[in-house]
Amino acid sequence: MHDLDLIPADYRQLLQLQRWLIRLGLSALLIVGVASDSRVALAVGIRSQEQAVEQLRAAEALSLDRRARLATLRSQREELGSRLGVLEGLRGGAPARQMLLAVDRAFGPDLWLLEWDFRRAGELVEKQPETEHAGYFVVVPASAEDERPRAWRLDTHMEMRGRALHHAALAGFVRRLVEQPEILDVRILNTQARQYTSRQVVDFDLAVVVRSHGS
Amino acid sequence: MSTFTRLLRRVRPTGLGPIGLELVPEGLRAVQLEQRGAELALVASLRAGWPDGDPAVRESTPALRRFLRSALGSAGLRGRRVITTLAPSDVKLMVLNYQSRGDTDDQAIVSLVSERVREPVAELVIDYSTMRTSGEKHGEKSALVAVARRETVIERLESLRACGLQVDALEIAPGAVRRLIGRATRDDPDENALAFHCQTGRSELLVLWGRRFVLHREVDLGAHDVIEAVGKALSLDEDEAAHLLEGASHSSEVGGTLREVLKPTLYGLAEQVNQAVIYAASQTHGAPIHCVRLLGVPRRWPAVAELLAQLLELPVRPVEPLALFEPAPGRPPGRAGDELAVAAGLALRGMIQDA
Repeated sequence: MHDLDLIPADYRQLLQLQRWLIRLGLSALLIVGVASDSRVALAVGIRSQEQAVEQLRAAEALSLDRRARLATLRSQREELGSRLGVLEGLRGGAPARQMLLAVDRAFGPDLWLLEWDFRRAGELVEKQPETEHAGYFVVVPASAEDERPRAWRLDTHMEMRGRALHHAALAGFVRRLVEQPEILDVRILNTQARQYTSRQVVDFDLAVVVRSHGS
Repeated sequence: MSTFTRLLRRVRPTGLGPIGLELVPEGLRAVQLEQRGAELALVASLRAGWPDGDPAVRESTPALRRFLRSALGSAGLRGRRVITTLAPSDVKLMVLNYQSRGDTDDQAIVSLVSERVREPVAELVIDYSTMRTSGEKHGEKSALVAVARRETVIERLESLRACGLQVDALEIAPGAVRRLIGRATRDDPDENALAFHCQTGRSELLVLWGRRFVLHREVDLGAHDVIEAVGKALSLDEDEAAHLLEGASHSSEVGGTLREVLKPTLYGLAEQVNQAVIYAASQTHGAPIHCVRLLGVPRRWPAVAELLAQLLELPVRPVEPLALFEPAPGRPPGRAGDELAVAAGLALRGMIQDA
């Protein structure tokens, strides 16, 4: 049996529509709220990620800086290593005492020395070690700016200026010097005969190349 | 089951029913039920007078809202959904006989209502329930029609809405009583009963053939008239007369006296009941009325029930509304239940399968 109901149909529909609209509005508000929250959460997340990216970038920059610094330090180490090699090379070879002994062994009675210059030094040259026989080379690593291979040429030589009573005494001295194991080569740079007090003497200049390591 | 009922059941997942709410001149009547397993159980009931006994509270929405919230909440009534009625003065009930000659029932009834009410139909709210009659085979039909002014209906609905309530249905009191009687006779659904619903200042007669209306009639006799008659005859005030009515049975000498005192008062009622019985018999091919179902405060008055049975020559079976349900835990309904017949019938709407 039909139950009576005096609520007008249009009023009921209006209320239902109103309720539906309210629910829709609430749903929309909810969605907006959720979206807003999500946006905020997303923004926070993005900010956090951006901070992480910034930190990573900073770390990367630091890493690059350290790497560059490391490369510089390596370069410096190699430079220092090469200098150490040069220094060791300079320190190496025949000691001065031995050189004195060698000269003493070759010395004769008819001549005397006015000047004696002993020099041991390095010189940065184009690397052509194969063609050199005097001194030895320490290879220097090629730098970024300069691709040419370079090397320290270590040179030890002596220059002597003296006087001999005659050329035979000078020749004997040179021959004996060349025979010494410490001496690589002897070059007569200059000889000149001249009157000294009451007799004739020969002034001479000699260049003595001392044997080094590797030569 | 109507579409509305199915919808109502769908949106009530917890088994909690709507609040049956009746606003009467004396105050507020409310009942709420719930489905507890296979049984219907009482959630809570309420019988409260208006604050300071002033019925004008009904006209003030803020005052009504405060009162409803306080009263419903303290009684343990839950939710916002209510089923309520219009005040009897705001609704016209009429039984209309009509023939549908090519018209739909709606058109025929609207036409008849417009003739009787003499108001623009657009300003009215009309609903009806077809009644069982003898002439159905010949195209003659009968319907119980409720008519109310649309403005009044909207005012009531908006007033309750402003109080935070959601009105699921706006019924008429006889519909609620019919449903309650249906609940009382659920073991014998074919019982033809005459329901006498006695309220404070007026009463209703309903003739029910099974679950359907055969007749509805308002009777100008209320419980107050009975009390007044006893008080006047025995020189008692109203409380003493009511107390006497409750205690006296046919076995006592007082009961006999009361029956004698009440005979003049109830003769008029008996006459109307007899006319109703004759009318009902004419509409139902002489189907007998099996009993009188007595609702309202007189249910507790044995002398009235005995006198009615004697005058009508029918068994009188009192109906205690709240006893038809599983009791609410810790909330005995007490005597107040007798005044909650309409509220209980309203609360039943949508809770039972109504044939």
